[in-house]
Amino acid sequence: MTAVLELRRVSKTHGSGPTEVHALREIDLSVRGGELVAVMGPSGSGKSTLLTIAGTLEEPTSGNVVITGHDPAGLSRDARARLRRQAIGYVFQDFNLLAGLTAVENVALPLELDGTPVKAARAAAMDVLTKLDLADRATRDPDELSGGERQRVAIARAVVGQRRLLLADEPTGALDSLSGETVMRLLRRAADDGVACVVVTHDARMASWADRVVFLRDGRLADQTVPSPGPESLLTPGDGR
Amino acid sequence: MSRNGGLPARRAVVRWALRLFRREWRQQLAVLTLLTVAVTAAVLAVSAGYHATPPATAAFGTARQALTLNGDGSLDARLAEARDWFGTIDVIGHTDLPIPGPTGTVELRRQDPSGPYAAPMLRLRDGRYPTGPGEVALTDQVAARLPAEVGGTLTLDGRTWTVVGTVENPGDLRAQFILGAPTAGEPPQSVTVLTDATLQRFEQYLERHGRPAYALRPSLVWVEAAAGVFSVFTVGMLLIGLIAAAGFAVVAHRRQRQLGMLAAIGATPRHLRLVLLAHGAAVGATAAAIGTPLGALAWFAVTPRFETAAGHRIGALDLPWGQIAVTVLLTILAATAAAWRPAHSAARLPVTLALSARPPRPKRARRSAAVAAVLVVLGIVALRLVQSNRPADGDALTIGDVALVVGGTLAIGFALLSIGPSAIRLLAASAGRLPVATRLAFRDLARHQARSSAALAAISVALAIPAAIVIGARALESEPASGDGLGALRAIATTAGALLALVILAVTVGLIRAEAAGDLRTLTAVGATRRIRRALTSATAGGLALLGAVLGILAAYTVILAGSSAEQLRELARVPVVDLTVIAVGVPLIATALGWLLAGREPRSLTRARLE
Repeated sequence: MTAVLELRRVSKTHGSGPTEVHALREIDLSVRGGELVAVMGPSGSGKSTLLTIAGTLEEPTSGNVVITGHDPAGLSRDARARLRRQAIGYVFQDFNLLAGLTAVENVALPLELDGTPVKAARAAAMDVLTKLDLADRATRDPDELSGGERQRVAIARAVVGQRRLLLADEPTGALDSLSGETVMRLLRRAADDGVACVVVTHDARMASWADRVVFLRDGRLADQTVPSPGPESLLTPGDGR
Repeated sequence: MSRNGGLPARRAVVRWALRLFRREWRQQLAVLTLLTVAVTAAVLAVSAGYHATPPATAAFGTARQALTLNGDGSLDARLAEARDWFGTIDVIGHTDLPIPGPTGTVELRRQDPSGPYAAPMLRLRDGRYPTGPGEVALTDQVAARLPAEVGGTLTLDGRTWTVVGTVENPGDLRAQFILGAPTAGEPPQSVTVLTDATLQRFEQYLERHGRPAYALRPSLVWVEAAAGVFSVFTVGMLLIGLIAAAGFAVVAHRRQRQLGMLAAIGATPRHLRLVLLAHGAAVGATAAAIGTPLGALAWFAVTPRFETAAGHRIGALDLPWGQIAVTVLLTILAATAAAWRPAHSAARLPVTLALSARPPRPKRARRSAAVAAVLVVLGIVALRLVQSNRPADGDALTIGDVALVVGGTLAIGFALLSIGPSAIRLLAASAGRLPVATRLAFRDLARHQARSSAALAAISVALAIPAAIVIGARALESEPASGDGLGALRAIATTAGALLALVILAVTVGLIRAEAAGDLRTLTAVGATRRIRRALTSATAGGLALLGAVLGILAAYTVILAGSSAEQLRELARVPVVDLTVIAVGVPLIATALGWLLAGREPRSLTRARLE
């Protein structure tokens, strides 16, 4: 399967002179559709920067990023926004559902932003929520959902509309272990459905759901491993893989 | 499908903005209240302006022209000619009757109450209209003066009538007359002939008949009053717009993270701008929706008193709906315009910075200071041009000169907005050796440049207006006849300006401190006392007031000096020291004291996260 995300010798430097910080140094990374890659590393190792560059939220200082065949470097802000709407889904640590919109409206939002009429967008969003066992929560406000439910809605929003790349920054960081396992199971399922997933995590147990684990240290790619099958889990998640 | 999502995307974004406004309208209460009060006052003022002048129906009914013919022997023939020429006419006879007392005469008016044009000029208040030669009706004032009452008799000039009713001209309550039946009795001394011909046909009649005295129905007599009201309303909206801009800058910062999230899922900068513009429009529309009925209700309440003062009856629903619609539109436009700058800044933020919820690094103040300098120079040049164009005899200004005066004054006014960042940075830089609370307060103003600059501009404009009035009034006080009045004007302007500035300070400092609630929690958690919390708010209010007063007085002097002739410049040597001291020192001191007294409460929760 071809790579959905490719980072070629990507570096990112913040500041200049004495305050210069190298967040990433010559990173090469390729993620294929259907692959779940976990990114681990200590604080300040560049994990989140890697994710924001992969998601076109930031531009690298040097190197190339290719997402579904497009190099966002030459694109306008509007074109990059379109690429995010159509190809990239984001899941953040602290849920980040938009207050004031119900769960189904949150999930439908990327489609509506892309011009899908409201009725069709809601129908597609409802389909995804149903697949994630959240149909009965569809009309609830984010305030009325538990942390785990909110993160599942965020995942639904990230995968709605045939998006090919899912980027998750500490998606289980604010959840208890049971909810964390459920979220990882959903990310795994998204990968099994053909989506390329990159998950930043501190938690080795969560990383064990991945096909490949990438270690970052001081902005460099320090190591890559393939975890042994059968993650340690409270729920024996093996059947979900 | 549009590349940026087209209508579905805009609809989704506006829907979200409106939902957020519905959830968080309390956070906008101050701005909402100010706008609502402005709309209420504007509706009241445009209604008063519209009805301040007597309606054309007072003298013309529904006719377009009025001829006056003398009641000599040929009157009947001339009336027949007029009827032939115009088709339909309405004739009102006038005869002056002597009455006892110093006022001399009273008019006996012969008029058909259901005449084709003059019907709106009569209204029966009591009894009935006279129908025969021995019957009359009186206006209230005539009945009181003579005196006479309905059912009684009236004897004047050797003639006696039965009084059958009381009447009035609803368009002219001050008109005093005795109304007789239209065709009864001897010929009148003069008649008014009302016609509704085209202007061309009316002119032809005048030419053919030796140009008798005539009058044409005036058109749009309320326009001047409306123009005055709208000028004041526009200045008020400019001031409120600046306050609203500070409020919207706070909203933009509160929503920064959510806007970053929206951008992360694919919203374009245009969509992000639309979120805040829709919020501004929603605030304006809500203020208009509340303020308009409030203004109409207030108008209904004052209508009876206003009728007496204006001297004409006012219909219950006779409101200037067109002008009210313009007021509503201006309010929504002003609120949307106030949201433009915060919206523009929020949309330009890098997504990662927006997601971090940190305030953006303040832009270099040098550029905005240069813009301010250019605006001031343009303003001064425009005002000097007016002086150099003006003839020595001090003739009235031409339209071009008025445009230059308005443009020059506005340029200097907008310079206040551009100089804000530099002034605030200067204040923050001066805080290095000040106590910690003051230092924090001034640096916080500099960190959140957008909201601080808008707040400062509003305060500066609020103080520049009274400063200009007191400077001008003091210069004119050399004329002995006007001395006392101008002194009172200075006192009123100073007090009103100080009060207005304090209200603006209360709103803007309230917004700024509410936004800094997180910092206050941190301060309290690390042991800050009530005294420090008080000092923080107090320094914010005092610092903004001081800067606003200095900039306001400078702007007022710039406008006045640039727009003055050599002779006027000599008069400006008389400086209103007391008034300017009240503005420059008194207002900051009162603001500091009020900030101290009204702040200092411990945050309700030291751990609760800021509302998103």
